Amino acid sequence: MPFLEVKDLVLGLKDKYLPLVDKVSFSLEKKEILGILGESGCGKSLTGFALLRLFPPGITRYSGEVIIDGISLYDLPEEEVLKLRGRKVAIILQDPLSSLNPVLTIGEQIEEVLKYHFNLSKEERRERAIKLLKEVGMPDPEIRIKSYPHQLSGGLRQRAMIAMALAGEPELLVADEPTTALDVTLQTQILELLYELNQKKNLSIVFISHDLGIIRWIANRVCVFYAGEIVETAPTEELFKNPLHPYTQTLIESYPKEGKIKKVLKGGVVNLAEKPKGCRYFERCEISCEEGKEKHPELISVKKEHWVRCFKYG
Amino acid sequence: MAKSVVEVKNIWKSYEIKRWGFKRISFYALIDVSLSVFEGESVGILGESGCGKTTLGKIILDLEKPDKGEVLWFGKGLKNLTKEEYKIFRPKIQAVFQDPYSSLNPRYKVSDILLEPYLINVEKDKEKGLEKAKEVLSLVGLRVEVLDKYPHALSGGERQRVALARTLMVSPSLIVLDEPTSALDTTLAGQILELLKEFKRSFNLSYILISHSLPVVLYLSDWIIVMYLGRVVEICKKEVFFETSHHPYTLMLLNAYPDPFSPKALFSKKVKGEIASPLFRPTGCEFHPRCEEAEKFCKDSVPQLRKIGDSQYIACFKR
Repeated sequence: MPFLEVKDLVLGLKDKYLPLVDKVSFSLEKKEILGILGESGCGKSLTGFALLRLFPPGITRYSGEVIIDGISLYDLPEEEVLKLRGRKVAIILQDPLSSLNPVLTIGEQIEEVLKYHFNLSKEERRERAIKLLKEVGMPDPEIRIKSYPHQLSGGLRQRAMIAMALAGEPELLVADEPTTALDVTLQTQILELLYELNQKKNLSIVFISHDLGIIRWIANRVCVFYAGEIVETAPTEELFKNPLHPYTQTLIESYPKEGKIKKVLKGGVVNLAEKPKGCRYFERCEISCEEGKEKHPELISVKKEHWVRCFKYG
Repeated sequence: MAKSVVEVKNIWKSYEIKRWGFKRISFYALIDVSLSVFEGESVGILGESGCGKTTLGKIILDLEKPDKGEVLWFGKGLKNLTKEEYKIFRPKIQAVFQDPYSSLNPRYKVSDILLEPYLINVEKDKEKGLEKAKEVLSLVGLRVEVLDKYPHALSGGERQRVALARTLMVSPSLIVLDEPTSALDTTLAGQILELLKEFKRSFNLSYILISHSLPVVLYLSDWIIVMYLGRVVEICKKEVFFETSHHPYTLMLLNAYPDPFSPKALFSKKVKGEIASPLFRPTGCEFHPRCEEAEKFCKDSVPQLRKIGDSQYIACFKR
C-alpha cells in the first residue's frame, strides 16, 4: 500500500459551488519525491495544503479522501488531526519571513513544536533544537538559536523553517515552492539539503513548483497540473524525454535553452468560473481536436506509469 | 560605429547604515564599475542579491548619485547636462521593475498610467496620447478594453505588459529591466521575454537586464556582466559563453542553475557558503572564501579585470 494516497480530491469555494481542484488522485511511496508542476492558479498549492487538512480562507473540500499511512485524514476528529500535523506530515512554504513568527526566536519556535509532540524536559528540548539546526546546515547553531527571523538571511531563514518542520520527525514533507524567494545559489543548497534528508531519513516529499529545472533535479515522479486537474503524470525522466500532453510539450519547449526559446505558450489559463465543458486546454492547444471542444477527456494510461489526459491518445 | 547610449565610468557608491543604535557605518555597494551600452545592444547583469546590480541600475537611471565616477547619457556626462538637455534625454532612459504589483499606481486607470509620461514628456495632447496608448497596447498584446481598468483587475503578466507599454509611450532608447520576469510563471515569463526580444529588433532598443536567472540573461543579452559583492568579476560576449572558461563564480552560478534539459542532478555540493556582507568584506579577492580554486595569494590582493581573448574580461588570478 502506498504511503500517501489522494483519491478524487475536489476542493473549491465555500460560498458557491466552484471546484478549483477537480478529482485529483495520486499516490506516493515511502522515500519517494513527487513533483507537482503547474502555473499559478492551477491548484497545486491548494492540493498541498489539503494534505495537512489546511485550507486558505474561503476554500473547502467538497469530496475526496487523503490517506496517509493508512489513516484517512478527513475522517479524523479535529484534535487527532492536530497531533498528526507536524508529526506525520509537515509543510514548508515559499516565503520564510512571513511564515515564521517575528517576535519569537527560532529556538523558541522549534521548541514549541517539540513541546507539543514530545514529552521532553527544557534542556532536552534545547539540545534537540540545536541538533536539528545542525542537521539543516545552520552555521553556529548554539548562537543562531537565539536569533530572531529578521536577523537571519533568506537562506538561513529557510533552513530554520525546515528545522521547524522536521522537529516533529514527520514522514512526509510538503514543500510548497520552498526556493522561489531565494537566489539560484541558495536554491541549490536548499534542494541539496532536502535531497539529503530524503536519502538519509527516508523522508517522503511532495515538491510543488512551477520551475521545470527544479522538478527535473529533485523529483522521482511528476504530476503536471493544469486548471485544477492532473493532465499528465509519469516518472521524471520519462516525462521530460517523452512528454505526451500538448501542454507539457509546450511547457518544456518554452523554457529558454542556451539562449533560445523554441516556442511560447500563448494566452492565459481558462476561467474556471465559466465552467468549461470540453478540454480545459482547448483554447491554447495546438491540436484543438474536434472532441476537445465539447467533451472532457479522461486521464488514460498510455504506458506503464505514464498517464495523460488528451484525446490524441485514445 | 554604433553610438553609445549609456556609459558608466569607474563608479563607486557607498551607503550609510545605522548600527548598534547610533553608530553610523558606511559600506560600498559598488566598487569601480565601468560599462557601456551601445545602440541596439543589450547587456545582462548577473549576480546574487546584495551584489549591487540593482544599485547600478538606479545609478544608470539617475535615481541615485554615485560617490565617484561618471555616468554618461548619449556621450554626455550627467553632471554637465543643461536643464534642457536633461529634459530631452531623461525620457529616453526608461525602467521596468520586478514587481508589477507595486510599480503601478493602484489609483490610476491603465489609461492614466500610460498617458502620464506622454503628456509630460511628449506633448500635451490627450487625443494623440490615447491613440498612441492604443497602439502601444496592441504591441504588448493587450486589448484596448484594459484602458478603463485599474491595475488590481489585471493579472501579474498583464501588469508587467502595462509596465512595458508605459515605457514605450515615450519612445525610449534604453530600458533598464530589473528582474522583469522573476515574479512571473515560466510560461508568462516566456511571453514577456519574447516581446522584449521583438521590441529590441523592431525599435533598435538597448536593454540593461538585471537578473539572477542565467537563462533569462542568456536569452536577451549580447553581453553578460557578472557581479560579485559590488565588483565586476567577468564580462563575456554571449556568442562565446558556452565555449570559453569562466570566472570560478560564474561557474558556480552555472552549476547552481537547475537545467530542465539535463537529467537529475548528482548534487555535487558545488555551491559553498553565502555571499559575504559588504560590511565585512573578505580581504583580497572577495570571492576567495567560497572559491574552490582559492590559493594563499588570493587573500592578499584584489584581482583586476584582464582581457582574455576578443570578447571576454575576467578578474581572477588563476585565469
